Amino acid sequence: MKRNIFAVFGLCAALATTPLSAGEITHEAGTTDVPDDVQRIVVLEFSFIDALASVGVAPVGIADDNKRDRVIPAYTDIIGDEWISVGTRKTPSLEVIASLAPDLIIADKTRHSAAYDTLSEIAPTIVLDSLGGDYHDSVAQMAVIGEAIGKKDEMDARITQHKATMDAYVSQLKPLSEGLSAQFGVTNATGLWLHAPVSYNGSLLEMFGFDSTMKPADGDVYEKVYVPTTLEQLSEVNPDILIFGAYANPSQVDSWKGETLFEDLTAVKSEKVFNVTAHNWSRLRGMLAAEMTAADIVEIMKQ
Amino acid sequence: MRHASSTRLIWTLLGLTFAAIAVFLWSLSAGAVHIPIATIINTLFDLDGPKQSFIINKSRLPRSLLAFCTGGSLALSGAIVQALLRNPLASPKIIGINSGAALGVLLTFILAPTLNLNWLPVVAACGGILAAAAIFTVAEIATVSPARLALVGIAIGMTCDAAVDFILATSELYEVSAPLVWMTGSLWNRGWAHLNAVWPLLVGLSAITLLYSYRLDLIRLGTAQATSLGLNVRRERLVLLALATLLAALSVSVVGVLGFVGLMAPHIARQMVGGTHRGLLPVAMLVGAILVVVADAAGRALFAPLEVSAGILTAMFGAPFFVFLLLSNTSEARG
Repeated sequence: MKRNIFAVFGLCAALATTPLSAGEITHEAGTTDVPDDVQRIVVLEFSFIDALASVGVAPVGIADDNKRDRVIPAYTDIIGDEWISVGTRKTPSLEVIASLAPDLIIADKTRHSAAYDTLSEIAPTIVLDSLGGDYHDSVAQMAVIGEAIGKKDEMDARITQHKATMDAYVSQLKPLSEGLSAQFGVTNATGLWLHAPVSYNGSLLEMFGFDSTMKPADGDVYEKVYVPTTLEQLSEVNPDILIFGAYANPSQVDSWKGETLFEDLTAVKSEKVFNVTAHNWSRLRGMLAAEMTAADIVEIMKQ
Repeated sequence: MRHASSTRLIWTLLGLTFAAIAVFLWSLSAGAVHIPIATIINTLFDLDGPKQSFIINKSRLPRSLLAFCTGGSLALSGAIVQALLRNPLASPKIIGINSGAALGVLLTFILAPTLNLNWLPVVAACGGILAAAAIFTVAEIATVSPARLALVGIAIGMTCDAAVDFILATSELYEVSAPLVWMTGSLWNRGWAHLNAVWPLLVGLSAITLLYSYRLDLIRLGTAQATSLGLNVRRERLVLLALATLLAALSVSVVGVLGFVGLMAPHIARQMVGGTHRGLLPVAMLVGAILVVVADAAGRALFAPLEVSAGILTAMFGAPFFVFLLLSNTSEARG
C-alpha cells in the first residue's frame, strides 16, 4: 500500500514536472527520488547511524547484527533505543524492513548492491560505499545523507564543526607523528587483518601524519582494504607503532607473544604496541567515530 | 505384487502432494514478521482489508515457489546421477556442478568486480555446466564406467574446490561477501525475476526427464544387459547426464549451493516406494521440494531477524541422515 502511494507520488511528480520530493539524490547505485520530510529511515551499516545521530535523527530500523550493544552509548544517547533490529548487515531481513514501512533505506555498496532492486521496491534506497570507503569518503557520505533526509544545513554545520575538531587533532598530532609509521589491525582467534592505507583507519592515520610501511602487493587487480596477515608478513611491515583491536581473548596476536619474530618487531621492542576497542575502530565509521579514534590516538601518543 | 506397489505409489504420491501443499501454505505464514492468516488471504486474493503486499507477494510467495522448483529439480538430478553411476552416494555434486558454479561465481567476482550482480545466476549456471562437460569429456575418452565417471567427477570437483579455496584465502573476505551468501545456498533476496528466469526451463526439463525414466531402469541393470535389450547406452547416458546437469546447474545458479538435497531426497523416496524410477522420480521431486521449502521458511523464521541459509539447514539435517543411511545399509538392498 505504502509502495502504491509512492508509485502514484512519483507519477504525479513526473506528470506535473513539479518536484514534490526533497530531491534527486545521486549515489553509488544511481539516482533516487527521495520524498520530502522522511520520517522512517532504515540504515544497514553503522556509519549511517553516525550520520543520523550527528543531526539528532533516530532510525526506525538498524542492521545491528541482532546485537543491540553494537550501537554504542555515544549513539544511543542521541537516537534512543527504540529501533527495530533488521538482522545482520550481510543479509538483513527484507521482511522486517518492509514491515517497518520506511520512507528511506540507506544501504552499503559492498554488502547490499545485489539487493538494491528489492530494497527499492520497499522504499526509496540510496547506496553509499561505507565498508570500502576511506575516512574522507565517509565524511562526504555524511553530506549526501544530510541532503537525503532534508537536513542539509544542519549536517553541513556539523561537518564544519567536525572538520575543525579534526584539524585541531591534526595540529596536535602532526608534530608527534613526524617520521613515525603506524599500523592498525584487527585480530580474532584465528587471524590478523591489517587495515591498508586506502582503508578508513589507514586514511585517518595518514591524515594525522603517520607513514605507512604497508606496501601494495603487486599484481592485484584491486586494492586491498583489509589484508590478512601472518606473523612473517607482519615482520615485513614492521611499523614503529602497532595498534591492535582484538575481537577475541586470547587473540591470534596474543598467541604470537614470545615468538622471536614477534619480539623482534620494532614496535614490540620499543613498547609501542597498543590495544584499542576493535568494534569502535573497525566496525564504526563516521564523524563521531573518527573523533573517538582521534582521541584514542592522542592517548597512544601520550604513552 | 505389481498391484500392491502401484497402490502404494499412488497413496504415497497423494500423501506427498497434500504435504507439499500444506507445507507451501505454512511457508507463506513463516518468517521474521508475524502475519495473520486473514491478512495472507487478503493479500493473495487481493481482497479488501489489511494486506502485506511486499512480504507475501514479493518475498515469501516467489521464494517458496523457487524453493519448490529448485528442490524438486535438485532431487530429480540426484536420482538420475545415482542411477547412472549406480552409486547410492552420488549426487549432483559428484558431476562437478556445485564446485564449477562456485568457481565461476568467484572468478567473475575477481576478474570483473564491476559486473552487475544480476549476472551471478548466468555465470553460476555456465560454471556448473562447464565443469560437468569437462568431466564427461574426460570420462568419455577412457572407457566409460560408472566408477570412472564418479572418480573423474570427484577429481575435477576437487580441482575446482581448490581454486575456490585459493580465491577465498587470497582475496578479502569482505569483498566477496555477496558470493559467500550465495555459496551457503540462500534464498535471501530471491524474487520473481529469479523464479521467472528458471521455472519454465526447470518444469520443461523435469517433464522430459520423467518421460525418460523407464530408460533409467534399463541402464541400472548394467551396460551389457541394457545393450542386449536394445538400448544405445552411450547415447542415453549422455542425454540423461545432460538433463541432470541442466536441472542442477540452473537450480544452483539461483539458490546457491544447497547441500544434501540431491543426495537425501532420492534416498528418502527409495525408502518410500522402492527403486523403480517411474515411481521414484516423482516421489523424490516432491520430497526435495518439501525439504527446501521447509528449510527456507524455517531459516527465516527460526532466529528472526537473522536469516539462516536454506543450504545450512538442509546440510544440518543431511549429515545425520547420511549417518542413518550408513547404519541402515540393509534396507538399501531394496533400492
